[in-house]
Amino acid sequence: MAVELQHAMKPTPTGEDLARQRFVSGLRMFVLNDLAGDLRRAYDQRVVPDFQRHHGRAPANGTEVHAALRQDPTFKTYSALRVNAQKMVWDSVTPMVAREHDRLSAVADTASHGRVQTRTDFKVPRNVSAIDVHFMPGSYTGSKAPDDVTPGAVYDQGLAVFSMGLMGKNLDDIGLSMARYVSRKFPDFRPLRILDVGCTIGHNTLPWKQTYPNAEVVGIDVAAGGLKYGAARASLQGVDVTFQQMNAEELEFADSSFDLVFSSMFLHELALKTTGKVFKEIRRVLRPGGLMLHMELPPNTQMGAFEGFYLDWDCYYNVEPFYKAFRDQDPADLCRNAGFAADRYFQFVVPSIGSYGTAAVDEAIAREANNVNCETTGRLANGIQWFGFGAWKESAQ
Amino acid sequence: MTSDALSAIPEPSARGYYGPDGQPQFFADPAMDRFAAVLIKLTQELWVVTERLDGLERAVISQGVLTRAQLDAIAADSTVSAERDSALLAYVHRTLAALREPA
Repeated sequence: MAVELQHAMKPTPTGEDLARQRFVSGLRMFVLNDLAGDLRRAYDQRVVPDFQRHHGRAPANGTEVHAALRQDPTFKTYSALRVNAQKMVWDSVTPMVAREHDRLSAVADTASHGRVQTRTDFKVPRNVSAIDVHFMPGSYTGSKAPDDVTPGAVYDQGLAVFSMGLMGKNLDDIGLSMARYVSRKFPDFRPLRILDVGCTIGHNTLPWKQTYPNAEVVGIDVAAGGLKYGAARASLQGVDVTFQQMNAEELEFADSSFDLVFSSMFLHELALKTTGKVFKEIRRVLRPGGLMLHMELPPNTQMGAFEGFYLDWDCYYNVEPFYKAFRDQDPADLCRNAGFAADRYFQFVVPSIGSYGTAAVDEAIAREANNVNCETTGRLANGIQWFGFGAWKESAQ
Repeated sequence: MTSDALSAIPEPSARGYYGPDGQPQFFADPAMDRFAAVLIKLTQELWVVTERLDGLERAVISQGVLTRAQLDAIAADSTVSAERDSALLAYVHRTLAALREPA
């Protein structure tokens, strides 16, 4: 259910705020677990038989699943509730952030000092500035000064409500699960320079420093306010990570300067032509023998028609316009097109460390878990498991 | 949704999935989508009241101020103040916002 964040960069909620947030988390639990189950039953029991009567076969792809579901009342109510629950996530947190804006700004100014670099002449790309991504009012950039902390605070608080506890009390379950996976799967890999691209407020950046304490960890993003907020958030939690405003299409780092480049829930917010550039830039800044690792939504090419569409719902109804185009790609192709050798590609499914515990992650490594077409993979609902993929840059010989 | 968002969705046939206001539309009559929003908001507000009242009653009883029976008696004798009137107006504006025309 709604998470109470454990750091000092959080506004103090009133009783009304808490009750409203609790309701939204509870509503989302109901929609994403119970109604999602109803939707699957409606699909199997009504939608597929009806489609078969007309076409002599079951829906073959996500587009056909979608068109058929659009006629079903369960899809309509599931979708109407889910859209409203999403808007209510932000509605439930923006008042308290606005109320405590001045205090949060003052704390952020002090706590982020020396830990974040932003630029006044920075041009934020339109995939962030022109779209209220997942209905977030003002997107990641907000409507105030470029480095105003409001969007970062709204994102952090909103994610706490949105995630229903499934991302942990510090919203770092993805980072913790991925870092655990890498450190156990590749025990001889000891990165000393780690980059997180598209890190927003750095909630999944911090686990890399916690996992590799000797590493220098840098997070980059295009939204200055989120970085400043994230730098303060990290500092107040005593984690030594720095942040820089930078576009992942044009990394301002030297060739071969990082051992590990990571991203989480980032690629699906990029236009496809941008993704290609980002992969090439990541490859350029990786040292030979370095690792590129992405946590993302699992690809349609490895999922059934219904399972694939279930995730693509966000592309149509949650202001995630690039989502489906990204998920239609084969991640191995994306890596190969950027110059990574085909045999250095790998992918995996890792159980959420918060839901299943560290032993389950270690066990998934041992059995090389890759259960992509699974109703818990990539779905933010009970029993969530995360999909990851990556590639090693060839060593200098 | 913004025209940027709509034009980026890689499927022209999806245009019909949005109402005249650019928002996702699921029901045959777009007014139904607005009423769905109102209904869910109202459910939320009812929960807010439930949770707040629960907190207040627990505090009052645990501090020995009133018993459960006395609380029930007070509930039957509630009065309406000007303060509550303005709170009510704010409440109506908040819960029925989806019925308004977009700014």
